[in-house]
Amino acid sequence: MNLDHYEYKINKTYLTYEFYSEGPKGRIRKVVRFTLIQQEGLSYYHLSFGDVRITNGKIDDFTITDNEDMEKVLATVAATVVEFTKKFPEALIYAEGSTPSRTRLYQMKINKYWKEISALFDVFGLSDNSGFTPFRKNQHYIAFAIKIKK
Amino acid sequence: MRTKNVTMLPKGKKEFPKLKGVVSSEVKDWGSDPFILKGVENARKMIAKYGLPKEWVEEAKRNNDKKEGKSH
Repeated sequence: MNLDHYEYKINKTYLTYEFYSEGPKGRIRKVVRFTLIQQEGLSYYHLSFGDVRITNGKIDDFTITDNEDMEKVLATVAATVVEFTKKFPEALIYAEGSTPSRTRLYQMKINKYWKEISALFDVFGLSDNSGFTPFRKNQHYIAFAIKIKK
Repeated sequence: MRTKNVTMLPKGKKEFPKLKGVVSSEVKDWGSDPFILKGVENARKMIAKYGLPKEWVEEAKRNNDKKEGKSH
């Protein structure tokens, strides 16, 4: 899965990653953050991804950047997931879009690169009536959980 | 005997993609950003409602038992 992606910088904790999207709208700072959650006696990580707003220096995932580099941006997020799981091989990562359309977009990309993703990761899809089940292409999911294969 | 200078992955071993990450002190933590905290809260609610993948939960419990020296 050597897709073209942006160079990114990593916080020394390996929990936060930053990179810049470059396109017609200029350079847009992006943040990927993995946050440890302990719940019901288990630990997992939540994946957050958004833009840093210039106006207030806070992250926002609801803006549509439209910098004509969506594929490269998502490939960079995928690269940070790989980097993170190399550092934390036992981690389970929970991810969902900030809106249903974003979640659909993520699912489309998982479908598109399923052969490459499934070689590296165990992926689970969350559906309202079945909970988490092993990911299957062309099913509708509301969130995902990812873990590196052993 | 001449040998070729090649690196081969063991059969069945995953090949990791080439990555472009550099550790930098310029990257702040962002853990207390409202957007991050809201996402974490949403995740907690979803997991409270649906639970985690049962395959992973079973594996995590087995690993915890191993660490604690329990045997079955």
